[in-house]
Amino acid sequence: VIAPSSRIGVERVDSVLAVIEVEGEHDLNTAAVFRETLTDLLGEKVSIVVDLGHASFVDSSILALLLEGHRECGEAGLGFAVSVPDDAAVGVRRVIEVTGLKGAIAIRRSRDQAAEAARVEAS
Amino acid sequence: VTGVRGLELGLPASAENVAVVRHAVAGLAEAMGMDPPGVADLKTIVTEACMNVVIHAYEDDDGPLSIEAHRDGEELEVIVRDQGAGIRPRADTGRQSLRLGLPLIAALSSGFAISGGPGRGTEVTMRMELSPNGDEPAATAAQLDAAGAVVAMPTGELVAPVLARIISIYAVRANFSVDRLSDAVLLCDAISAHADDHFPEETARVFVDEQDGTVMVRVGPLVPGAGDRLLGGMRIPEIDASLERLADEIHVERGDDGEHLVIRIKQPAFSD
Repeated sequence: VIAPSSRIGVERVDSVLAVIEVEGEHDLNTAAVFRETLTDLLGEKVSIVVDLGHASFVDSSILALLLEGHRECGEAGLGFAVSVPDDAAVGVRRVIEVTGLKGAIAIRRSRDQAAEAARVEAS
Repeated sequence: VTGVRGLELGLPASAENVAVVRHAVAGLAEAMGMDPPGVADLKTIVTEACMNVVIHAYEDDDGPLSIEAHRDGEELEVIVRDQGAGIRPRADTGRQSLRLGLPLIAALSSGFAISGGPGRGTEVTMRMELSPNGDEPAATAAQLDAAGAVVAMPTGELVAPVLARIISIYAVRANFSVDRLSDAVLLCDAISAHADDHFPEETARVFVDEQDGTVMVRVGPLVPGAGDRLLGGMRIPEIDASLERLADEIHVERGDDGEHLVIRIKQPAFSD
């Protein structure tokens, strides 16, 4: 079994919202790229949705960055939400469930719902 | 597949190598018949244990990271070892990930233990059931909650950082405010600081659980009389408060399984 390729992409939805697409496996080894992407978008003053629908694995360093992103967006008056659809990888859903991240961050079951939550948070 | 006996893996402790270990151990577990949710959890706990080595064990170069995985009855036992400086408190890193890593191992494994200390490296042993409950679906988060975290580690400086991390995640799970979370960590630091003389066999044993917004910490078994000594003698200099003032409930339990200090702490109801 070959490890799935890992990619972090950005889709700019409009002038006030961007989606970070997290695909494949992500851990400490790719956390710096994720951190940079967050920093860049914060610089653009857009609300952020992180789409984990195509992530096959995320570790605690990525979860920590979700918490950081949420905090930093909040401080900047921007919205932050995460999309974890029902068909997301079981491991991804499990770590989010078991760490209680839902209590801290808006986690939605689709990208659209997450976008809506991020826009509401920003307003 | 039958006849798979186990796996020993050694490689430099770099971040990029963690994926190697993750996939190697997952492959072994699949070969032994572990179900997909179990394998997903296994990948998480192995990753977190290896990340601890990558971040903590060695100052400059990538030292060795060793992994052993073998069947033990109906479980897979995975041991992650390093020859580094041991897990140490590092107030300056500001890495939230390290506050999540060990609690994740606690929550997702069927058992785990940490041993080692300064100059002796660190060894993390984790166990996962190969086929939990036959055909039943894998444990839900609620079941994991109810199971709590059983922690055993050598007394000494490992206790405070490990316990603080575990308490933190249960506090987050209980929706504690940042202030209340700090209280919980202060409580645990105080217990850790005073507990060296109070555990038999130089092994600190703590059970942590969370239910309905209350975090429960059961410390022990303790040597006879230690519960009252802990309860009476402990003050927390940072806030000049006693344990009783920080906790919602604190008492000593004496039973067949020895003496325990039981602490309950919860988020106060919002008054406005």
